[in-house]
Amino acid sequence: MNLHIRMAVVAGLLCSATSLLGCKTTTGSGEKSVSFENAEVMSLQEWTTACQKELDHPTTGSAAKNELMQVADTTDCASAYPTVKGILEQVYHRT
Amino acid sequence: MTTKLLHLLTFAGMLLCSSFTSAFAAQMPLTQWETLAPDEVGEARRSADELLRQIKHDYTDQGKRAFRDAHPRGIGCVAATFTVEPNLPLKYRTGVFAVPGKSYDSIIRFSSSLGPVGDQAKDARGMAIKLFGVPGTKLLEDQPNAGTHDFLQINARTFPAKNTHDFAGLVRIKTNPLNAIAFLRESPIAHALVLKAAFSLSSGNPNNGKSLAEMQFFSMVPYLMKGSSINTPVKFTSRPCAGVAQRSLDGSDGELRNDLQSRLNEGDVCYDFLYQFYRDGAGYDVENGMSDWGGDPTLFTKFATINIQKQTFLTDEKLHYCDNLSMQPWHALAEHQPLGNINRARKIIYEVISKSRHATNNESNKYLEPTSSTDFQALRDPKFSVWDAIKVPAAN
Repeated sequence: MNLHIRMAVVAGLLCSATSLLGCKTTTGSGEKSVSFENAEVMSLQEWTTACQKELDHPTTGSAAKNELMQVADTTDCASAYPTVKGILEQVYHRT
Repeated sequence: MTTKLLHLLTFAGMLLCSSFTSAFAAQMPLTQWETLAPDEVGEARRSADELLRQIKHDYTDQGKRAFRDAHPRGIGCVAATFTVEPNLPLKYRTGVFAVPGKSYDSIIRFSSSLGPVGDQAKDARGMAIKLFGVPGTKLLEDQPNAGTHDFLQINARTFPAKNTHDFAGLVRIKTNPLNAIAFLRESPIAHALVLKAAFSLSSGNPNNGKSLAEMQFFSMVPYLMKGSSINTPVKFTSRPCAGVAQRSLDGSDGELRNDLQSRLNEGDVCYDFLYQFYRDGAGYDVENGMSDWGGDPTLFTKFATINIQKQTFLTDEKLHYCDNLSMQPWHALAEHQPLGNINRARKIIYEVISKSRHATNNESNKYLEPTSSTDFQALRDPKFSVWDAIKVPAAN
């Protein structure tokens, strides 16, 4: 599998977002080669710990719970992990 | 060599310019619904600088025409009329809508957020409307006397970032996707939501594969509606008129252009222009770009009708003219002031990028804000090749 992907592919994932305020758009001319072979993906343990800390926050925990529902349709951090991992992998275009 | 030096100096000048613009923007008065986010001006300025560097890398350094960073692919511009509802209630008669039944000459730019790639790319689409003949002082300091008012829209209800800080994070990821992990670690749940929203806007956009004439476009972020009897945040939308014909796209790289041209060869294309009003206690947040005010059709009030008359828009001349236009939320009357930190950042970023690309393309003399669609409609050369055929003009 070719792990050197063209930046243009990544642009397809994120440019729509950044374009709204202003982002460069990678054209055929602007393609860059980026290796994601060793790109870091958050571990289940790291995600669960960080996520739970946000949910347990006395003032912002309720809002975080609502946002987690929007992300993964669950309020359980461990259950949300596959979705979050998938999002990150989409950024790296590993999927 | 001289050209490269010119580009370098232009780039350096734009970086300085962004700093001055940012400082100026910081003095903008806030409405009662707004709060200045920590370092939002700095975040916007740094994003603008980063985007300028990207444009330089992608286009200028390679001797290519510098396209706008935001929505660089102009699917096409069309002349249109924007007619205020003849029976608009008295309380809504303010700003652009002060005179019921008034019809504005206008140009609409349809766009894709990706670069000069084909229409088939899964992507967000834009619909920016520039009205002409709008009296009154405009909010953009450089062009207070411009007779234009712009409405910028995307085919999604919300912006994919809550605020300028999140947006700056997306810009950093765009520059280098490996930055995603740091972004996620900074605020795991909130930033997972931002990344998900970014994907939903492009590859996951439910409008992918649909005709522009069948899409609904949204302001995403709020604006003010201020008059003698009204003072409230609003969002606006352009919704296809009832009865629009549903058609399949042809599957080509120019499927959106071809579809729109085909429709405009046969007749007019129409949208209703509507507003949605802020409601206290409904959880609406003016400072949160991701605040969804809901899509219930009953929440919207019609203010105008957009009619795109039968015409030929798919020519090199018209695409070139279209590319030179500057669509900017702050080309606006104070009655319709853009609200929230995303809009405040847009003011900084759009202005810097617009000036930069016009300068690097040696087209600053053409950067004057148009006063009508007359020049656009007078472009009669039917030649149409491809988008990439547009070259950078030689330096004078």
